[in-house]
Amino acid sequence: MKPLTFTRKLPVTKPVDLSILRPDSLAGKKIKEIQRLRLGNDRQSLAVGDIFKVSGDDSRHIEFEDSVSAFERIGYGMTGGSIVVYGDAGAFAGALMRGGEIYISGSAGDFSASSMCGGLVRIDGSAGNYLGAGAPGSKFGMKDGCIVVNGNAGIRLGERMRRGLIVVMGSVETGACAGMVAGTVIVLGKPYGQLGVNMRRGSILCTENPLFPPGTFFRQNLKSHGIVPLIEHRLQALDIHLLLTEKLGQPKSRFVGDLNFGGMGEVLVYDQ
Amino acid sequence: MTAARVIVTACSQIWVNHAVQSATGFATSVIGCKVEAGVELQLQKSNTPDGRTGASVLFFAVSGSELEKQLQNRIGQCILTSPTSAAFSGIDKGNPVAMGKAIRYFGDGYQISKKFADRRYWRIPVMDGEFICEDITHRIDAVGGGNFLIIARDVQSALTAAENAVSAIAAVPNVITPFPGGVVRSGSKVGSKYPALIASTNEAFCPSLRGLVQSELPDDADAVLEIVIDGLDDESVGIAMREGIRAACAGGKEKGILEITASNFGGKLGKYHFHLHELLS
Repeated sequence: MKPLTFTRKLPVTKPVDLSILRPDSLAGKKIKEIQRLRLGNDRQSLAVGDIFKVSGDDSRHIEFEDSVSAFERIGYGMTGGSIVVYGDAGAFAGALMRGGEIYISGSAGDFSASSMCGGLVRIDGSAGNYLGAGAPGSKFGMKDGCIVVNGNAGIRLGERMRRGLIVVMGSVETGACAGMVAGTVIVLGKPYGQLGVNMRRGSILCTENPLFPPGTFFRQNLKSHGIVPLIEHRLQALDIHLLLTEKLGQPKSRFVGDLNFGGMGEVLVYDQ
Repeated sequence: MTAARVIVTACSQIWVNHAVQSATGFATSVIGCKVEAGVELQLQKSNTPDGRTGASVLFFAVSGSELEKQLQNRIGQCILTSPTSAAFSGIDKGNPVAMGKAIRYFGDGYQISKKFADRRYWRIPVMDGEFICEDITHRIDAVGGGNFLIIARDVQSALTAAENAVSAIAAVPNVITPFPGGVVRSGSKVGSKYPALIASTNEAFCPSLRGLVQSELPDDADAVLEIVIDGLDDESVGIAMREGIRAACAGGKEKGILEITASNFGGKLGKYHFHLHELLS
């Protein structure tokens, strides 16, 4: 069986809602039925066949070829299967997803993987703002699952996240992990300001020393951190080999905070 | 019997040994100790959840509630207290048994939970850093009391054969030999002339009672030692018995080994029967 492939056949600049094109909602549908599906709820909405050439027969595995950032809500709320996006994905890619896997070869828009509850999102390029944060109207950010970004991430990464794992190979903009309730975030590039502000619990691992607002975090000189190998073990189970301990040894310092919110969160820093 | 596996890790082999020796102490027989426990395998760094040296420990009890109580006591008093240690579940299926779920309260509110996929770990602050303990392990139906007797010309011959047998069994996964050094000298029978006792000495195999009771011993036998094996399944117990018997008999009669037999308690105790000839055929 070949993956169900959607190949863009015309330029698209206005946002298009692709939330309907996910493995669970396309199961059992024939190509002609899929081509007739409307993208969005308004009267002017386009049909799938207007934008895409559709081929393949395995709806468990979906591919978008020549994707652009106007394609929004890819894999929104998906529960299983896999989606591969060749190109960029727009806002809300993988938002509210509960299972399965999304791979994006380019960059992802704002609110990607927001409020996700399970599954795996891999982004080869950079991610926009509010990656893994709470979707608009949600009390919490991501509740489970894993996000891996090869590039950078925008502001408010993992804001109010409740559980799960985010790995960013590049830098993260202001306010990452703000109001974090639990979960784990690894930042291998530069963390800009307000990291972990208002966080209650959870773990952040950084390779560079972050700048905390005064009175929010307390520096400890603990050198032994048993939780790091468990994080690595979890990543290895997802076929992500960061080799943190092998390359960087143990974190050099631990900051606990936000002290205004109980101080049960931690930021482990490999830098001196 | 029901059994659980716990993986214990620490900063070095020395401290793994201290932790597991303590946790498996006074755990030879469910009759008096309520639990039978022992080290199943020593684990390399690559085989433990946190990448440190470790050991897998098996605990056997007659009921799930007793097993849970013993696990909590032994992890709480022996592993939590041992420097640099951590405890993880070694079985992923079966009925859940609380480990960190119960012990976390030692953290007095400062404990932190960390959940990866479906596994939850508790991080309990202690004076050398943190004690990491998995929330639950699982218990499964298991086989207790697999055994064989080494009948030898003298004590030294019996002991050498028993040591060889225990060494061979140590390499078999899923089993433990819970008695001191893996060897029992006080093999028992079910019941006693004293009503309060549920087990008493197996007089048919006591050399000093030959002539007084109906002895099972050959005339030239002066010592009998028993190897008791608990396992997670009957197949593993059978393999362990076979490997143990072969190792015990390696020297043959020249080394003083006269007979191998087993206690079957008249076939009345437990549903698993291991027939020695079938095991070795």
